[in-house]
This record gives sequence, structure tokens and C-alpha cells, in this order.
Amino acid sequence: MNFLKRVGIIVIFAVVLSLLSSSFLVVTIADRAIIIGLGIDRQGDEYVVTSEVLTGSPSSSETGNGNSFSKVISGSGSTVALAMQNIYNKTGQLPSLGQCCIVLLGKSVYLQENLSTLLDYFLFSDAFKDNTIVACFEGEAKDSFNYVTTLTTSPSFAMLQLLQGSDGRTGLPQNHLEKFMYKQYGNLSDSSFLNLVKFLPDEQTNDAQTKHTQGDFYSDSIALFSHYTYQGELSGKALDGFNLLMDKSAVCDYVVNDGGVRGINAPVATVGLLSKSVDKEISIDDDGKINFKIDCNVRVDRLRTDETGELFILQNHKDDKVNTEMKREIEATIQEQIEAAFGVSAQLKCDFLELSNQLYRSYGKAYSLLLQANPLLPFEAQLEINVVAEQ
Amino acid sequence: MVMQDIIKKREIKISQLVLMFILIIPGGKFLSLIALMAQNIGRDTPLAMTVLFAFDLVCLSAVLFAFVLNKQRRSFYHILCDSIGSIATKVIMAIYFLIFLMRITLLLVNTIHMFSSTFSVKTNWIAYSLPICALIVFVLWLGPNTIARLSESFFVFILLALLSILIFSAGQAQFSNLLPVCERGTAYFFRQLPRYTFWFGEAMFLLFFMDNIPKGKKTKVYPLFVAFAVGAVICVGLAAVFIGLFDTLAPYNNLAMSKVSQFIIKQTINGRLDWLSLVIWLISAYIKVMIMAYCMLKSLHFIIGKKQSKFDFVGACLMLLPVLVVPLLIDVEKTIMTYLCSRWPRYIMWVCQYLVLLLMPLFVYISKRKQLPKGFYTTDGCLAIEKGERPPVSRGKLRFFSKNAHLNLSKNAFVKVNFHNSEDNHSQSQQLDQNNRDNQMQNTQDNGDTQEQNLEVKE
Repeated sequence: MNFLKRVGIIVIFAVVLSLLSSSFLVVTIADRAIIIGLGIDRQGDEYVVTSEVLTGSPSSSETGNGNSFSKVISGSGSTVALAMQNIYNKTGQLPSLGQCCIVLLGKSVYLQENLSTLLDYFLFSDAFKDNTIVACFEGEAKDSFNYVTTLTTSPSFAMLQLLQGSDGRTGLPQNHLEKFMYKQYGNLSDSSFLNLVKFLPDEQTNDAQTKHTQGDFYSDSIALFSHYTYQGELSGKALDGFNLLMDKSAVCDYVVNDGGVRGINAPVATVGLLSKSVDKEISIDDDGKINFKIDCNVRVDRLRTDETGELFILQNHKDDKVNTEMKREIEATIQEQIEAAFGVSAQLKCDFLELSNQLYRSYGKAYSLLLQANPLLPFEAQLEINVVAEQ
Repeated sequence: MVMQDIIKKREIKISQLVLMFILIIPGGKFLSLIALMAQNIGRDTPLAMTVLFAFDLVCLSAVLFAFVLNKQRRSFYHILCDSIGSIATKVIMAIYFLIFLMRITLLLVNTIHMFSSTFSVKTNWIAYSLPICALIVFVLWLGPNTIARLSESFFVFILLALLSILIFSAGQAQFSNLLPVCERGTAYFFRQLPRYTFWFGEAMFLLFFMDNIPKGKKTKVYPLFVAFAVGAVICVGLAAVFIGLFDTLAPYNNLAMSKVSQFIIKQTINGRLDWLSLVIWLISAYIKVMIMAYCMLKSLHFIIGKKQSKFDFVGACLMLLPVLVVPLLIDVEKTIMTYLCSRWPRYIMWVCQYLVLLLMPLFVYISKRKQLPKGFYTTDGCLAIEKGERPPVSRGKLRFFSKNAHLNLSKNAFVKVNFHNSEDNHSQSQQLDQNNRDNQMQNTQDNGDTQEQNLEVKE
């Protein structure tokens, strides 16, 4: 086969392929609106979806302040899908959600709506990442994209850094789209949580001319959900107890009486968790009561200036002493934290500690029947907590 | 020279077969099977896969035993013909043809689905599958050795992509989701298993490569067991990670691979590094398609009785025509699940996927007996002498296949070698003739002189 024949075959093949695919237009990156963050609010009968779009090409900002890095575009519709379609109609650019890293739910949505109807649009889309962080925003989600943070240009990335950093570093749990959804579908515990994000404005640096509100995003609590509807908030000691029992990370700090261990007359010392081992043994006795035994072993050490909350297990040994009184104090605090978590669970009738799930794994259908007979069974569990703190 | 080239193109080393086997096993299972199993079996999907792989292991053992027995490297078709007759063999080959056709079509349908959903690359079926079919024809023209070389070239990258998807995603999976075991009862679990056998029976691919392994070498099959174990562990692992990640929502996902890969590294939460791993892994799906196409073409040739000395361009194009057309007419996955996996056609498929594989050692044994005339043979089954002829040259034991006759030759017996007239064995016999001459010379040098021994056949 000579050269011309080969070229001819390639040309014919390319032409036939173009005809068959009916694709003559090239969709470039400039034709797409690459969305990195989404906010969902409710206004009357309509959903308002606000998106932070990367500026791949010069485009106008429909709403919000925007910047050279991204623009904020909103769309509205009776469903989230229609609101997304509205963004496309307004801009003429295809909304590309494959890069979306955070979905924020405004107060008007997460307090009143059943979130399954909102989020299944994202969950059952293959192009949308299932590990996208979903969080609640105290206020209108639309506003969050207009804030300017101190260190990060993009509000989406600022919130992402805050929540990513919280997982395993600052003692706050973090939830993804798929986990949030499946924990409330077909599971007996039927509950999950989302981070609750707030914005703390810094009044001194606010620019009145550009209407930019500068400040920082902040999160120190989680919103609890059952049947995809809001149940309440978890913060403080109860949140620490939840972390101790449910989260893989071992991040918790305790302020205890120093007692002059190191010869310096300091009134208090800050001690952090080095590692934790939580053995949960759950069983149902002959009377049908749940016994929940928790053995919690923690290793603690004083916080140093090169650590912020998290201590690393493989660090070299330090001679800073944590005496017996301090350890007892920490043990008592941990016990309080766990009890507080159970208290909130019982008060809200929300099984976010997943007792029912654990029992189902051990007892199968037998537990399902017990739960059907008494839906409050997991909240009547008898607790037995043993905490041992060591340095 | 041309003949040598053809033989070289057809030859595949065991090491290459091992790599191909590792790539074959996960292929379509990662795309559709795990999600389909999750719809009915739920949390027990990894367990169900383990059980089905256990069946596969039994079949694989039988096939590999047949490989060891088949020292003459006779083709699968010839072995079957000798054992069950040519008509039955052609029927079986036709079933294999259809199985491969359906598997290729399903795999390609799944890959286009992955492209359109994960990478947002939307195109129509013909525009997607036509270039792939052209590629398949081109590779078939180059010969199976090309597929083997492709597997070798990409193996490391594919395995790394696969392991990165598996290991990094595992960190975020909650494996307690796999409990309780047999949630809906053991009976229900075992009742569901036969619905998913379509994706298993991977050892049947090896049957079509029986005559591709170079002759005259000892067949070491244990690496194939290792390959199978690696493939099976990866598959079960991915199923466990999938259930661990999605739990009760697993049944609502279509493609496990594209879903699991999203969790590969937490830090890519603001990026799509998973796309890179997925693209690399997809190469293995195309290699699997090529392997299946090779098996399909071979079974087509066996059915129509065509010799494989020349590449059959028309046959290759025609056999791929249904791959292009069928998905335009029917929903392939639904049809396979509804009609093939749940109704009587599955029993027909089991004959080819399991029964033939299990009986392969027997078929090889029968074939060997039918091929060789009565006389003396060395244990490698390649040398033969007629009754009453002079003692042959051999260093090994001779075995007599006639009834009531047992005979052992001394080590340095002089054996006259008779060659089979069979076309398949001709080149091999020539090679063995040379080997025996070398052996004879070696014996003479080692022991001074060679003994001659007359053999008599007692029946």
C-alpha cells in the first residue's frame, strides 16, 4: 500500500466518522461554565441555585461581586435541575459540575426541606463527584459566595479548606454527599449530619465601596438529620463525644489543672489526645434492653507550640508530665462528653451514634423486629463507660 | 519464512498469558457486574463474587491440567472434535461465538457509558464503536502476539491505576457495611448466584490459546493460578470497597468503577485525578475486547472449517458487524440480564462456561489416544513406534497404550522414531527428531556405547 492510499484511507475514515457522529462543532473549555461551588436557597416556590464559576473566558458576572478568579451566577426554578438549566439559559455556557467541590445549603433549605429531593439530582449523576462536601450555611447560601476571606480568593475553596482541614485536624467530622445520603436510606439508624458553616465578618476591614464583606468562614458545630430532615444541632461537649465514638481521628484538647508538675506555678495545662482506642460492645439482654459498653483508652500529652490541636503518635518522646490527677480529670471529661452525646441523641430521638446499625449487624432481622415493636429502643440503652487515660 | 512469521505471530508465552489473564478477569466486572449484583444481593456482593470465583478456580484447575496434558499443543477445536465429534464441536463453538459476541458488545456499551457519564464526552454509538472495531480488526491482522505484547506494555500502568483506585478508595470505605452476612438468608443468596455466571468462567479464554503456546517446552501453569488469584482478589476487593462506600445506595449506581474511583484521594476533592487512573484502566477493557475478538474469530473459523494460515479480513469484519448493530436495536444489558442470565439460555452457556472446562482433561486424554496409533510412546506422548519395529531412541520411559501390556525401556535403549503424518504434529516431530539425535549423541558420549533393545508387543 503506497503513501497516497494510506492518506486516502485516513481521510475517508475521518470524514465518515464526522458524518456518523454528527459532530462538527468543537466544545472548548471556554464554552463550559466550570462550577466549583454551588449554593442552594429557597425563595417562595422556587429554588435559587448560586454557582461560583471559574473564568475560563471573559464573561460577565450576573450577580455578586465576582473577581478575576471566578464569577458568581444564579439561576432559579421550581426544581434544582430547572435552576441549573436557568443558569445555562442565562449564560449560554454548559454548566460543568464535574469539578464542583462543595454544595452549600442555605438556612431556608436545610431547616425546612426534605434534602433527599434536592440532593438526589447530584447523587445519581455520574459526572458529579459523590465525595463532594455538602454543608449547611447559617444564612443564605447565595450570600456566602459574595464574601471575601482573608487568605483565599475563592469562597468555595475557602470553605473547602475549612471543612477539609476540620477532618482529622481540628476535631470536627466531615460528611460527603454519598455518605450523607446512604446513612439515611435503608439503614435502621436513619440519621446523618452536615457541617454547619458560619461567616464571621471582620468589621474593620470591610470595604463599603465595593460592598465586599470580608471575614472568615467558621465551623464549630454540625447539623443533625433524620429522614433527610433537620433535627437539631450538635456542638460543644456532645460534639466531642460524637467524635470520640464515631470519627477515626483522635483530636480533642482538654484544659486541666496543672498542679505545678514542671516546677512552674502555671494554673492550667492544655493536654491533647495522642491516640485513642474505642471498643464498643453492644448487646441485647434477655429483657430486650440494650447494653452499650464503651472501653475508651486514650494516650494524652501536653500540647506544644509546634502543634495545633493534633498530636502525632510517632513523634519522639517528651518528658512533659501529665500526672495522675490530670489523667483522672481527662477521664471524667471524656465520660461527660460521651454521656452528653447520648443525651442529645435521646433528646432529639436521632440515632446519630448508629446504635441500631451496629445492632443490626450483630443480630440481623431479629433486631429489626425489636425496633419495630419499640422505635425508642436505641435511646433507652444502658451505658457503661470505662475510660483510661495514659501518657 | 512467511510460515515462520505466521507461527511467530501466533505464539504466546505463558508469561504473556499470565498478564493477559490478570487483565481479563477484572474487565467487565468492574463496570457493570458489581452494580448489578448489588441490586439483588446487596451487601453480600463480595461474598457472591468469592463463591463464583471459587467455581472458576475449579474450572481453571481442570483447564490448566488439560494444558499440561496437551503436550502436542493441539487446538481446542481438534481436541473437542476427537472427543465428541465435529458436529457437536461446531455447536459448542457457535455458543462460544455468541458468548464472546455478547460480552464484547456489553463491554463496549459499558465503556461508552463511562465516557459519557464520567468524562462528559457524548458521542453516538457508531462513532464510538466503529474506530474500536477497526482497531480490533487491525490487531487481529497483526496476530494474537500483538495482543500479548500490548498486555505486556501496559500491564504495569494498568495495575498501578487499578491499585491506586482500590487502595486509596479503601481508606474512605466503611467495611462494617458488609455486615450482616446473607442478610436475606442463605437460600436467597445461593438462588441469586446463577444469575451472574455470564461474567465468569474466565478460564474459557485460555482454551482458545491452547495451540498458541510454543511447543517443545514444559508447560508451567502455576503462574496462571497466581494470575487468577491476583485478578480475583482485586475484583472482590473492589466489590467490598464499593459496598463500603455506597452501602444501601450501591444498587442505584450503574458503573462501580467510575463511582469508586472518585474516592481515590481525598485531596483531589477540588480536582479530578481519578480521571487519569480511569483512562489508564480503560486500556485493559479494550485489551479484553481484543482478546475476546480473537477467540471469537477463532471459533468462527472452527465453525466454518477455515484454516488459520491467512488472516480472514472479511470474517473479522462480518463478525464485528453485530457489535455495531445490536446496541442500536436493543438494550444490551437489560436483555442479557432478563433473557440470558435469568432464563434457560443460561444453562446452554454453562455448558461452555463450566462443563466443557471441567471435562477438558478428559477430552485431551481421549484426543491423545485417538491420535496415536497402537505402539510405544514416551511419557511426553510425542514419539511413537509401530508394533514389531526396532527399539527406538529414548531417555525416558515408554508407555504402551494397548491393553494388558507393560514395558519399560532401559535408559539407553535405542529407539527408532516414527513421525505422525498429522499436519499439526509435523513440525513438532521434526523438532523432536533433532532433539532425540542430540540426546542420542549425548548418551553416547556419556556412556560409551549405546545399547540396542528389541521390543515385542504382547497383547
